[in-house]
Amino acid sequence: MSESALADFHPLLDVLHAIDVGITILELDGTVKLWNGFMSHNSGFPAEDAIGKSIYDLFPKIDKPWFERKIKQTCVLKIQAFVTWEQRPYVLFFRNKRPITGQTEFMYQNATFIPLSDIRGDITQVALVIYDATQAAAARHELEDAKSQLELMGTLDNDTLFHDPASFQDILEVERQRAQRSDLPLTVAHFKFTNAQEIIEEHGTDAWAAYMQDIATALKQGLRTTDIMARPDVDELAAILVSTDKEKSKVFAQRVAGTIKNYPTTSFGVQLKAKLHSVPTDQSAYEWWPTLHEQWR
Amino acid sequence: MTSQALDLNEEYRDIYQELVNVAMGRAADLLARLLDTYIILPVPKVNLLARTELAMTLAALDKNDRVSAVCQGFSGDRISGEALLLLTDATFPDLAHLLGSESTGSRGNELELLMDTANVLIGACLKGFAEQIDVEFAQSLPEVLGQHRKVDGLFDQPAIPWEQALAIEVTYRLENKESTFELLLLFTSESIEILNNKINFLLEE
Amino acid sequence: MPTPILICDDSAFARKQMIRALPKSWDVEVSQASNGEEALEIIRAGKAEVTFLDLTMPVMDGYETLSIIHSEDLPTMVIVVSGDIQPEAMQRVKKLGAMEFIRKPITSEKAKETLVTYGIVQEGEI
Repeated sequence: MSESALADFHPLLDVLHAIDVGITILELDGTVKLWNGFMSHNSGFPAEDAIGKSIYDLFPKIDKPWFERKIKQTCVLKIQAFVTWEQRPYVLFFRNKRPITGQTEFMYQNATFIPLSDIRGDITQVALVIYDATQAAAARHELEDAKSQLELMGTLDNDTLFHDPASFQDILEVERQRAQRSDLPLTVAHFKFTNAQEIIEEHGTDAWAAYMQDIATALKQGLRTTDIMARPDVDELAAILVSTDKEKSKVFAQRVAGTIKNYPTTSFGVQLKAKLHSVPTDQSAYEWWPTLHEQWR
Repeated sequence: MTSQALDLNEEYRDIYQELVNVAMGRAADLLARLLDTYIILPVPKVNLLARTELAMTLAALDKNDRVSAVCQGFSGDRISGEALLLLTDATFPDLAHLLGSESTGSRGNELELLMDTANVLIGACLKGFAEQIDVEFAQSLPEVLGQHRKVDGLFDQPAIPWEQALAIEVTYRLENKESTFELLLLFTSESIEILNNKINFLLEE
Repeated sequence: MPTPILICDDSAFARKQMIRALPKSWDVEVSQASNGEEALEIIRAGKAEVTFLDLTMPVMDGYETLSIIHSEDLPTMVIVVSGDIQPEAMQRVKKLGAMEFIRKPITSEKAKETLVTYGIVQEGEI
């Protein structure tokens, strides 16, 4: 390298280390060859400790098969591979840069694997570039929550103007994800009119529809703005109670049951059953729903 | 923007078509190796497109089809644009099956399939196209436009008031499968004149 | 006497690229076709000792054209020049009797190498 090229190169190295983007170069087996300032600050490993070590040893919890596949694909295809936080929240576990007021413990990351070729054109190393995407992720989550709510507005049950079954499932999924992210409780209260079929046979579907309409109107007065009501089936009502644990939900369920019991047209003699279900945050709503239905019957 | 730049005569259309034909072939080759299947290649469609026609142009897709889409910006040598990849919902089981991947139902896994496919098809196609006209494109991070959305609702009116773009559309199909991959390369109207110059250079060579 | 050759590609640009890639000193009479149907006509008329054939074409694609050439045993040597470079595409055209498979865009070096390899032209000739 000529002297002037070297002179240009030095500031470039300074920038490489100061830039707020993670840059590391890895051998194909995962051995670290370069580790910039961002990587040091966020991982806690200074460059002298990281270089020469295996990335898999530095980050034992890394998804190794996935990571190895990314490196292999980058080499074979000879094109960059992009990984967004939406796909997987992070490639390497770094703590959120706002450890106190942040929404998550970890730093959301976008990442790019770049193939690096030697003089002969063979890919012998891979650069991994990591961007902090925590802010983007937070903004998107807020937007998506709002958007989903809007999208779901149109699908209401005709009688009660509560959410219809499809809408109920969708909202439940959104809320489940939100509960998972924010680590807040989420409870679903189910109400089943167990003798609805008999009533419909005796008084007709129109009478039942009118009754549900009245009940819904009465129930609406006692709702918090955050309570989401749905009619999962012709003889069922449900409430999605966000930020509400099972204990608090009992109070809600009792109130609903009371409203229904004390409603004037209860000449029908409705029989009501209720059930509370804390939504497990580690399972998809679609999976537990049929089981819950089973429990009803 | 000059009106001359927005002129797309038959000769240029033919050249764009051929450049993309070669580029998409390379991309298909990589995807075929990854999936271990044969990919049926179409004749690419080249058009000048008004912004209102964006959703309409995806002719191979039914308006009611649910799709997942990724877009990725690219730029280099004063040429810029966006690449879009759309996968119909029917594609995911096929992809998962071919890749031997389990738990096809989960959204995370679908996203992984979507992004991997986008990396290969967009990356290789752009690289192949750029090499032929002797430029280099830098790609922005890909962005998921939506999952399981109707085609119609996918493109919110963009804030940038573009009027026209050069659109090159490629519909890949997996052999013996229903799956289709829509790849759309969109070049800004400002890029067209520069692209045409690059092409003139190819013609003179 | 010039060798009659055929260049079949739906793209005029690709045909132009192909012609440019041929050895300058090779004495040829070039016919052009933009799809398989047109190509078959020219081959049947005996105007194509060598055919450079694209695969992805409207009306009649390269595969169909090849299989007709093969089944009717038409008198032409086919060199496929294609953007579709999937391993399976190569296998298929070889099975259908294509002599060689060249990936697009074709270079003059590759054209020369192929023509010499198959003895269509002699090294010294060009």
